[in-house]
Amino acid sequence: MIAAILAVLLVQGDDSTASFAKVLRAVKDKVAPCVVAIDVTRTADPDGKGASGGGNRDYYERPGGPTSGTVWTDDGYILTSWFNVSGDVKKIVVTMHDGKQYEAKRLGYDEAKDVALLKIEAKNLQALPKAKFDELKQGDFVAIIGRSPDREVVTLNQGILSALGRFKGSAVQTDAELNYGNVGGPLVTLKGELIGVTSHIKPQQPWGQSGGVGFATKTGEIDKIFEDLKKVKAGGVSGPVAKALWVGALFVDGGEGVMVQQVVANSPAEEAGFEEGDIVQEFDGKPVKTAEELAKLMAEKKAGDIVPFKVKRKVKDKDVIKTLKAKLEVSPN
Amino acid sequence: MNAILALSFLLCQGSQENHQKVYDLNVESVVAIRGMAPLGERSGSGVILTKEGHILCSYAVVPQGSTKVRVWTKGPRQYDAEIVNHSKADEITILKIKPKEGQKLPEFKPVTCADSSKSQQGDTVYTLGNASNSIINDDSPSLNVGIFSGTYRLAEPRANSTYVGTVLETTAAVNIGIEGGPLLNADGKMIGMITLNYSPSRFLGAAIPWNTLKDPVALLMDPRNAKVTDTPDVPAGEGSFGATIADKDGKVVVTAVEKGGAADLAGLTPGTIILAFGDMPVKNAAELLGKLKGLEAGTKVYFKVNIEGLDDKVTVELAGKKKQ
Amino acid sequence: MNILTAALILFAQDAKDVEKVKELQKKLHDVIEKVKPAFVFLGGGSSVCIDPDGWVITNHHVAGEQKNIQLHFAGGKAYTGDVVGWDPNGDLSLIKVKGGKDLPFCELGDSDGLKIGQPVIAVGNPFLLGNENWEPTVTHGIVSALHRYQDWYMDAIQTDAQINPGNSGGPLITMEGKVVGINGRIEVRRFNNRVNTGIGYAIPSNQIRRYLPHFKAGGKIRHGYLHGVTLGETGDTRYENVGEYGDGIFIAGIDEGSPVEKAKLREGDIITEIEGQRSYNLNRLHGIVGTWPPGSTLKFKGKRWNKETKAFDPLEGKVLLGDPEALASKDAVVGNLDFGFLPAFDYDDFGVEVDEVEQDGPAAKAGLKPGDVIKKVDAVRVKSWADMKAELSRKKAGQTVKLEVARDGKEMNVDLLLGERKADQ
Repeated sequence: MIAAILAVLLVQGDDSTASFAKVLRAVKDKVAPCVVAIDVTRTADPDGKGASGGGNRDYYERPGGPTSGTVWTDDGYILTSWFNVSGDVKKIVVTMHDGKQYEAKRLGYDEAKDVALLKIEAKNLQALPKAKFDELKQGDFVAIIGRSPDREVVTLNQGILSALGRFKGSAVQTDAELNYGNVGGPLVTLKGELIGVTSHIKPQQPWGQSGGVGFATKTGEIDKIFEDLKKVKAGGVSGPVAKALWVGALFVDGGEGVMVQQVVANSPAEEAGFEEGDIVQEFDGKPVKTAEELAKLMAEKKAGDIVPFKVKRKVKDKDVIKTLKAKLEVSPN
Repeated sequence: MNAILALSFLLCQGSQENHQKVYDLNVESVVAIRGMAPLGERSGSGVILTKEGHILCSYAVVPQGSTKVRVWTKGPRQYDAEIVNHSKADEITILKIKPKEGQKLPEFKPVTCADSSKSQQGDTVYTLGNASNSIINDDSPSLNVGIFSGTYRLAEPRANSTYVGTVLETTAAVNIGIEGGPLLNADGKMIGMITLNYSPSRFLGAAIPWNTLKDPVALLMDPRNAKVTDTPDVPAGEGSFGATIADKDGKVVVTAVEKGGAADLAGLTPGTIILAFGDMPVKNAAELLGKLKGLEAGTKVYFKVNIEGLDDKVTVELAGKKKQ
Repeated sequence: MNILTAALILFAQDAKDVEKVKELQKKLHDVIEKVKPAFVFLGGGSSVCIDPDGWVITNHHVAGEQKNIQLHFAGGKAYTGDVVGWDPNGDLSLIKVKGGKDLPFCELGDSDGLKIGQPVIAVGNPFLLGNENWEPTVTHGIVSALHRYQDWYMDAIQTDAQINPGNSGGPLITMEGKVVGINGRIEVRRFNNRVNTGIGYAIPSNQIRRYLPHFKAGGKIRHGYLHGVTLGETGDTRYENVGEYGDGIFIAGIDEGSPVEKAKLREGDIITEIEGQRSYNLNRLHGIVGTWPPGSTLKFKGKRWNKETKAFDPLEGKVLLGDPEALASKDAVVGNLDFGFLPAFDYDDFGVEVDEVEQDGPAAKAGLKPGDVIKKVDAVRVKSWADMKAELSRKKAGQTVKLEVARDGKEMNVDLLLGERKADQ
């Protein structure tokens, strides 16, 4: 008998690639019933606006079509990202894995953790077991399951746990591709345990879609605020997030001042003409040497203020000084 | 049980070796293509289909009217190629390598294709090709690994792609230059041809399934079909025109009209010959539909037509869903 | 086969699948654990420590030529460091951690031994996400292509492990835990949308290793090239008998005094291989020679058209990179030291051959003669002028260095008293 088993095992093709696919599929089958499609009809969508035109619109604007959500409890509480259901919402329809559709009520949300709670009138739903956080390690294989643009099929993305503590420790980071379509769906271990609800994908974030940088708000963090999420609050659970001001540029310490490392598309910095590599020498007439100094000076202003930045830029090997006027806005982070 | 598992480990191949195996199996079958398309030079990828040097590549890279088509294989070696046939709707162009004067051609290594319906979500898959000109400039076909992550219908053409329909989605990297290259399964067999079309809510790579391409490829490679142009009887998209047109005897003829549709309301009937679109004479059905496809609902288009022997001018207001 | 057996087989298979995946995962855990402590955060990017004495390598576009840079090792321990050597074109900077001793580090691996499809991880700080807790980001992918020529990234490794702004300067690591590249560039789909699209480029570790002594010696380094020669690509139909497309590069013209001439190459010769790497086009040639320091001597293989037999004869030899005159004048200077001899730049990678000895200079007084091969400096083995230069740069004028020298097949010791160069020398 042992010989027979051995023979079958030998013949079966024995490389780990096939095993990997089987394990992934088993996870997908296990988790799919807990992933819902969410369709939102809005009268206004300020968060979802994309670039002013051209090729960027496709990438940044919130596209039509369903997004994803995760079944949280068996009696109809669904978790998704706050961005998925933000705006002036007229109607939310949730489609389950078996095709049944329900209208959902939007309850509380937490903007800092980018999660929101929905309620549907359904019973005997399947919720996922939660992963034990202290057993997780950087490098763990993980998967994100979401709803495809066609809604009928689930989508499967696989990657590793890139980091365990992001967004003040409320989220993990993964290189499994995260995008507008699957954000709000579950991030799970290859055993099908829920690590968190995927989040922090929105137009103003520099990491864009499917760029290998994605996040999931940890189940433990959601547990902490679940009772509060059930009670709808005007400013969300954590209250209006004390927001920093920004212009949409990533400032870092460069050699001779504060360097612009990246300019976020469709931001005031882009409109003002900032370019990567620019060295900021003055803000509002005051000299700045470090990114921290600049941040402090910016925090003293108000949203809406238009402030001059003096920058040094290399144009064809010559240093050019430019004054760029940028409007300070409330940071979406 | 432990003994069996232990023995299995001894025999198992790491997935690392699988990546290398897939690369070795296909490195001689993947090619880079460059040609002068009517709108400018384009580069992309392709696969070898026969020992004699037939190549499958993307219509987006070698569209109708392209000249100076060249092919690069691992070596590096370079060859000239001529267009055998193409199909815009299927996003396929078939090339054949043509020897330069005195050039002796080797026997080429064709790719092995597989039934794409047997692939399952979660399977490891690969993209291979001329990403950022890695073949043309550096003789190094780019290999990327990922999984088969989903299937869905893409309803709009994008990024020079002309195919709309069901695609296999993959998390393996797809970049400019790799279109026309193969999507390979874990056994190193081709299950699809990479297209640059994508879903704006997923932003991941896509490939046209081999099962969808198989018949059109065979048709286009058949020498008896040498002069086949783009597929006739292409129905208008999105219901905006409301009529089916086809090529008949060198003319573009309306074959069916949707009741209450835009063409119907404008007075077009089956048998109507469309002579011109605005001021431009219409050459074939696919070309006309291509022009209409990009237009929004509510746009008025002017046709010069011939209905039952009489020339006339007709205005059609395109109906259908407005873009949200 | 009964049901029980079938069930056992299925169970064994499922368990086998999970075990295999766990094995793959464990490999990742092990590499990350080994490598993470050597990761260093700095400025707007990443870097990695490659030596316990605190040598940290990163991109030039991250660290420039700065002094007193704030460094944080993964986990948060803070240090300061100075850029010692830099390569603005090749985009590398080498930093010395002040007071660095017994620091966690990750060894450089062999980038020429990489295979396409080989799994790798990238460790970095995309979008500066790790700054809140000094936890670097790890992404996982494979080697997608090799020997890519992307302007000054002349011999780049291409990977699909996701690299984003902030990853620059960070390591590309094999499953054996060795640094095979420094990540620095990505392909993007649109301007102002710098997000990974699946193509990242890394500077190969072998290039870094070749320059390490030069970086440590300090200052800006230069790239090797073939001096005084005009080159073409085989298959160029404007020339005769220059081989087929993809064979190699051919010599279209040689200037007088060019090292190519000294290497016994002639016009019309075809070079097919350099240091074991096929030079199939000009990009690749530049990618090979440009990743060696000038003054390096490289082995080559090629072929020469034989008019009589109407066939190619094989060729083999060695060629010096760079301009010998420039090398002699600039490269033979070490700070303000006066050592009184000129090294031969076209000598094998074995020791430093003394080419010329200055009359009444320190070398003459110590008894050094032209033709001597210096093998050790204060007991440190030196295989090339670069090595010796690095050693000398640690000495001061007035110090005596013990040299182990080979002359006429015999080993001898020479004490060299280093003098001080005067400003006008």
